[in-house]
Amino acid sequence: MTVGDEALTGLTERLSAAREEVEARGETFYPGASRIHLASFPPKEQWDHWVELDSKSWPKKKEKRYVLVPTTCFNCESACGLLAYVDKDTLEVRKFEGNPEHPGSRGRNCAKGPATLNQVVDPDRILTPLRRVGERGSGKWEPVTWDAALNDIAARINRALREDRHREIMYHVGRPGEDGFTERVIAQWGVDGHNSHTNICSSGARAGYHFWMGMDRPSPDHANAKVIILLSSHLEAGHYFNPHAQRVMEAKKNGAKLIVLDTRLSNTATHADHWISPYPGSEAAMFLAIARYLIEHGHYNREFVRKWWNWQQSLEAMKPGGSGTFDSFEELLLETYAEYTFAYAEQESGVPAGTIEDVAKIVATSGTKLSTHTWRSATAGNLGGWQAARTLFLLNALMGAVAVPGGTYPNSWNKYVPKPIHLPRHPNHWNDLTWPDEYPLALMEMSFLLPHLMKERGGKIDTYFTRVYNPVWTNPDGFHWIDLLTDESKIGMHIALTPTWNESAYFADYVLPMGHSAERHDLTSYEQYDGQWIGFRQPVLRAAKERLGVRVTDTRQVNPGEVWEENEFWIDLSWRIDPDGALGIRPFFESKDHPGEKLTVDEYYRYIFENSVPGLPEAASKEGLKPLEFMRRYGAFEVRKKVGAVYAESVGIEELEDVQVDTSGRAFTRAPKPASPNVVPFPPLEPDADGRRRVGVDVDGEILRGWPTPSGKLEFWSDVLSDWGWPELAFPTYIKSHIHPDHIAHDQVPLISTFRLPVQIHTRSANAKWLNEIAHTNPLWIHPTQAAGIQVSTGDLVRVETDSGYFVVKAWVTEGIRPGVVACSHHMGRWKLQGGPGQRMSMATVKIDKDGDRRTLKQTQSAGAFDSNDPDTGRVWWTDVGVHQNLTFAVHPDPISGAHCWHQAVRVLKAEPGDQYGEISVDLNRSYGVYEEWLKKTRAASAHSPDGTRRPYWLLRPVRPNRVAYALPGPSEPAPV
Amino acid sequence: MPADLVRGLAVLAEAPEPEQGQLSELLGLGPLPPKSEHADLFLFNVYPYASVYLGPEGQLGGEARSRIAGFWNALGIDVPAEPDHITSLLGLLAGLIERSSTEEEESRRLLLREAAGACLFEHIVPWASPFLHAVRVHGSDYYAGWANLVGRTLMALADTFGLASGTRLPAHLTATEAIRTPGVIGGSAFLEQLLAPIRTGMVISRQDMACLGRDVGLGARIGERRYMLEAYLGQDPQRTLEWVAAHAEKWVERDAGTIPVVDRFWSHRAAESVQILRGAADQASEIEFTEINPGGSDS
Repeated sequence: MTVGDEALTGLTERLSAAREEVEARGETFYPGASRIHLASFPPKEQWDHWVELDSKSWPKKKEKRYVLVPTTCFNCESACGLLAYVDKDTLEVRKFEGNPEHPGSRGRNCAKGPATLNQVVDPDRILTPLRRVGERGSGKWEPVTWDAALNDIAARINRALREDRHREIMYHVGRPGEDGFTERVIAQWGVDGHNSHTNICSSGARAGYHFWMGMDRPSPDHANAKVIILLSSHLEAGHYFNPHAQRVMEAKKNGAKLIVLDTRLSNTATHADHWISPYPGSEAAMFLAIARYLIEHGHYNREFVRKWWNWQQSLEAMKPGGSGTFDSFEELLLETYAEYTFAYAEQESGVPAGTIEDVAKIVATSGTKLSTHTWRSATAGNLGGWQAARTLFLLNALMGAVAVPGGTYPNSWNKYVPKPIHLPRHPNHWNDLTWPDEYPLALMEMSFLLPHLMKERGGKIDTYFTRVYNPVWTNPDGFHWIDLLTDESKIGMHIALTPTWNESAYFADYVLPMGHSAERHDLTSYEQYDGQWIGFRQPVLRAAKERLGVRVTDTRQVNPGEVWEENEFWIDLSWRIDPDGALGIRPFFESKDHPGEKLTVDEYYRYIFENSVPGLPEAASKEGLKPLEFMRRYGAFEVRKKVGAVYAESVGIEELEDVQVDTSGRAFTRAPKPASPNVVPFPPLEPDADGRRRVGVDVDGEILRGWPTPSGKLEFWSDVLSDWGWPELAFPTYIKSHIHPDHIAHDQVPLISTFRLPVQIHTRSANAKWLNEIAHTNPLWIHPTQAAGIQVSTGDLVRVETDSGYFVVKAWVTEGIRPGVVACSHHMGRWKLQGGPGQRMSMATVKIDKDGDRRTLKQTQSAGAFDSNDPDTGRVWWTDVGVHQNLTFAVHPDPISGAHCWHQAVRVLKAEPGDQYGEISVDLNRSYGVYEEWLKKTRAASAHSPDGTRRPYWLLRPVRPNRVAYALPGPSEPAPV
Repeated sequence: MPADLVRGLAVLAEAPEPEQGQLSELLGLGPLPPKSEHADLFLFNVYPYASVYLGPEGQLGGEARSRIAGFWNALGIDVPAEPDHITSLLGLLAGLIERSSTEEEESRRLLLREAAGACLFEHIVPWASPFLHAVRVHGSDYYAGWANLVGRTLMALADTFGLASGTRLPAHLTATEAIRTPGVIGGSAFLEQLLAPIRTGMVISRQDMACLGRDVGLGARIGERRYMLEAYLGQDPQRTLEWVAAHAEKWVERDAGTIPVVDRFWSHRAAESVQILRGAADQASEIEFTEINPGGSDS
């Protein structure tokens, strides 16, 4: 397009040429701040030298000079981009803001991102390695050098490995914050000792997704959706909050309808067009009623179902001997869901049938633009919660809203994990403490049962690492964890890798300080839209110094005190575990550039960025940078946009060699799998009898890529579930929760404990002063009608009785909760022991008493103001920091997904005379009894395995032992622990 | 590509920062002015928001801004905080022109071109005429030069889009009636209408307010424009209205702004205002314009 005015044409050509030239240098032509751009960001070419006026000096105009260095937030799992403003004069970080170059967060942050600064300057943070003095848990510590600690730990591990005690090494992680680095370290040691927290978190949801599509996370394309369904707000108010919330709002601005199912009026629910507040655990019944409506009225995507569901297999399993036509499958669907009327859904959920019908009609208008999402919430709260995810995704599968714009994608296609410099081996061992016989289908390790399994079956862990994990506080039945961690005959050595004090670190032998998000290296990639990106977390002072020409060889040279980072720690420790290479570990941690020398983090990431990220070397080269320099400068890189419907892609001719298609349409080839630099985990697919690998599925005569499931299709019917003992649950259905009215006493009500305070950071926000000021306590949400029944008002103490004890908390009377249900956030209630260290700003001081099997915890001093080098700590005005309710929860492992089912059946009573705020009382016998009760619900591999293995090989597993280790032990062979 | 020209002009309506220096030079506008010049013009006298010129109240926001936000929405673009700011709108226009040039699919390319034309005709041209004139009157040489370049660019684009010779008015300009006499609507409502350019065909800036006081010999009371005008009317309604009528007359015969049909609209509105203001001045003593005490409070 040109304009007629010649002078203007000349002008515009001059401008365009200049723009091209400037942008070719990677610089910004149209500068910020400007309404032209998303928001106001410093132009990236000025990140080396950015000048702002110092607000504190106002009205004087004092210039502050900064180097702006990107890193990645670590205050939830979203991995949003941060930009650290490093003061050039003092080399201190002054503030954190958003990184506009980050494709996921796009320059925006929630409150937790800028609060990283609080964590960096926290006066109570751990600055030096510590070794316990006296009894474990006695609260006495002495400083120790890194060398001494590393040598001690390495010697233990070396001895254990040489003595074939591989099962005695365990690494227990909460928030990983990285893509597989530490998993590979553990595997490289030859140890099946990876233990994640995921079964108290997302396993239920993951299982629901995995059985459908062979991938265990959803990646909703909210921004392009017409209808959005969020099953509770956990994710949109906590996990992935920022990247998702901004896209949900984009969709809303474009007219999308937002439907939120949450028993509480959450932040997200306040933005909903339809806030549905069901009786907890009834969500699957509602989804099935919606599904029934779609099927009955023909509002679903028939062609998608015909092409992409394993409907033939479903028919064979659910209605054998019929005509085998698609029409008969449609009849089967109607029959299967006939009972799920809106009236039935109302009966189960308490939500009026008309409201559910309204929602169903909205869903029916979505076409393929239906984005749905759940992560924890109902799936983490209920027995059978995994079916809530499975029935939610059923709606996507019916509408064909799967991996298309505005629909829900599987995570693995929207994630990029670059191949590292060394790939690990598969351990030869199977760890029964994390993968016990009773839970063959558990998606992740049965981490929260560790104390119970060891109490029941014995066993010992020689060396136990906790990292960004606090089982005493986070897990249910924390007193069992305290007993385990203090028992040196069971836990030989406990090493807590943590930047701040936590309730489990008190019971460690070593507390080793690791950096916060601005003090460590990690690589991340998460499914947040239809694209693939990597985010680089880096020690910002290291990067700043290097930009200023100072060489840094060890992150401790720039971190506060002796704080380290885990990448360098694991490399160093591994090097010491295998000093002479005899254990075969050392080669995995050796430099390729300088054989015989230890791998450095620079080389580790340089290798990845130069060899495993398509497009990155070229993008860097355009700016005259090397790939590592580019990532240190910008912190993120978008590898691919619009990945699209991978399942519907044709398989290229080069992959089709001696192809065989079996009777169920699965195509196998002799052509080798093309090498890919993306090592994102996919489930392994069995080859055919002649050793050909699975390459796709035959759909209407064409070989398409298909799904990484046993059938190659979306699995409405799961042979895996059926073959492993659960045929009655092998399709999306409704399981009545353990807190269903049929299963609890008439005077009990459900307690929801799975929700977050959106500004808090699990166990690491005790030192974030800005966040604490916003939210620092966790009262019990109770409806006015219920509160009136027990004559309590807001602020009154109530006693909440669980199966194994009780806790005393303040009531918050609110109409934001469904009548007959109470709720208490799990985010607060932090504590420290009398005389021991801790985070003074938001931990109450407590005293723990033992009386036989009875454990009590009482607060002896609340939090409050204190003197420190930060004047703000003297201004702390809050004292109430909440109640640690999780101590009173017994374990509730779902027999299929393995997820802890958090919801509790409780009695809420007015506090008794003498009850103290924050008081906890637990009977360990009773809590252990609950463990035994739930164990009876399981169907063990030893009784139900169809092929003599411990677990379906197809199921994902964070560290995968070699196939031999999958075999069940023989009858005479005791299960090793 | 004219997109860069439009975007460059958009950027220069923002407060000047050193990084904009190259742009300014490339556009032949010379070195950037001091920030105070920008603030004096765009923060205190000539507000660079469509809603001020097109809204029935002559204020930020309201129906006019909603209509513009609706346009962003209809395009599926995230609505910015200030969708009717000159920079936002020129930036949007530039983006649409750019995308229409690079879009490979024919039907989408045509749609984008249509959208660019609609953005120009419906949401920029309607108020560019009084806005750019006010910038020329009140701005420094630098901003007068900028306004001339924006005007030329818009006219050239209107030609390119085939909009220059049409007779249909943009919807914004048909939504609001002209000013009505104080005898019909009352003095207070009349006063408010005087500050709505869409009704009067003219802009009365804060600088104009100061001139009014000086020219007529009235005491200026410092405050927002309505307050100042009310104070003048309280002191001498007839001479105040005569001054405003003379001010409107200057807007009848001002330079052409964008496209003829729009220029005629504004000129006609200003002419109507002249008539009504003169009539009101003749009857000024019978009209209650103000409730404030022109001499200030006694207590």
